[in-house]
Amino acid sequence: MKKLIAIFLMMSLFSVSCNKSDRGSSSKQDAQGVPVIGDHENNIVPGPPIPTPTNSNLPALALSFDTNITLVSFTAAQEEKYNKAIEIVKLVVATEKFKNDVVNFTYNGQKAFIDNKSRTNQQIYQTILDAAETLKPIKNNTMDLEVQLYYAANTVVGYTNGGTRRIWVNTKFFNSFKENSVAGNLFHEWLHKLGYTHSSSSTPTRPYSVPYAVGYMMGNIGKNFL
Amino acid sequence: MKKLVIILTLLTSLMAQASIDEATMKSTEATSGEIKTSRSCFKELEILGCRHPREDLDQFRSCMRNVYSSLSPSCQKMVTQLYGRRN
Ligand SMILES: [Zn+2]
Repeated sequence: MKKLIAIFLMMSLFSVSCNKSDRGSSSKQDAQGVPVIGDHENNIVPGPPIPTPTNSNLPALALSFDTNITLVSFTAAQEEKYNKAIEIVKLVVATEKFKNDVVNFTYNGQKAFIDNKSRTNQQIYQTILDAAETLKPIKNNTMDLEVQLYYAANTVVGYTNGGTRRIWVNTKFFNSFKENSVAGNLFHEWLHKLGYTHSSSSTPTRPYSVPYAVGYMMGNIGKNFL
Repeated sequence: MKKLVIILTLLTSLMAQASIDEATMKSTEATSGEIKTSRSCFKELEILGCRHPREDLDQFRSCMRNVYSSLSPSCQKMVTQLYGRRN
């Protein structure tokens, strides 16, 4: 029993150390953050025939998607950068490509994400547009978050947990990321707030989980808006 | 002892919800070529009267369709990919 308690105490200490870098003031704005995934996607549509774009079947909620993000511990310059990333999130959600990428996502020949909470791709897309965070499950079509910066000399890009609307972003990565990658990270962390999870270890299927795969889509489509 | 077990259980469930995202994933960092291509496309659109979507998404969407045939092939590709095809 003593051993058990000792193990739990060590784990608790770890958890506390992950959350201790609260500092600075808060300002109301948008946020993003992200552990960003893959760069192998090409933004150019292959094949010669280029049809004329038309009004697509994009749902109204994709065009009205909004953000309500409080930034904590940001300098003015960091704030400006994060706000650009937040803009990118909205611009990407308002594209046909984002909808198509989510709805048509496949893993292993199946139109489905890993760790999909038994939801179809279309249902997952709808939960994104609804934006009902598990902590306050109101479908308000708005990404509600707090983002706090901290610095740690490790490989953690960011983290969060289920008991808070806050996400933490490591400036070690944030400072060097372009805004589209910050947007990808922000979206990844926010998808956790919608209840989507992924393996804590780097498994072969983890990139196909909702936070990783959709965060990756966000980062890649976001390249168009830099 | 019971209290301790409850506390430990709570701690465990909190930790189970924690999500720590490591920088082991590939980056989505854009190349300077990608940035140049998209910026020049939005510049083309702006010259043709289409404001950037971050300024006015509705105006951009209808404007982009109207000027589509005047866009360079690479810009046509970009907007087609982002905003859809004729059904
Ligand atoms: Zn994650």
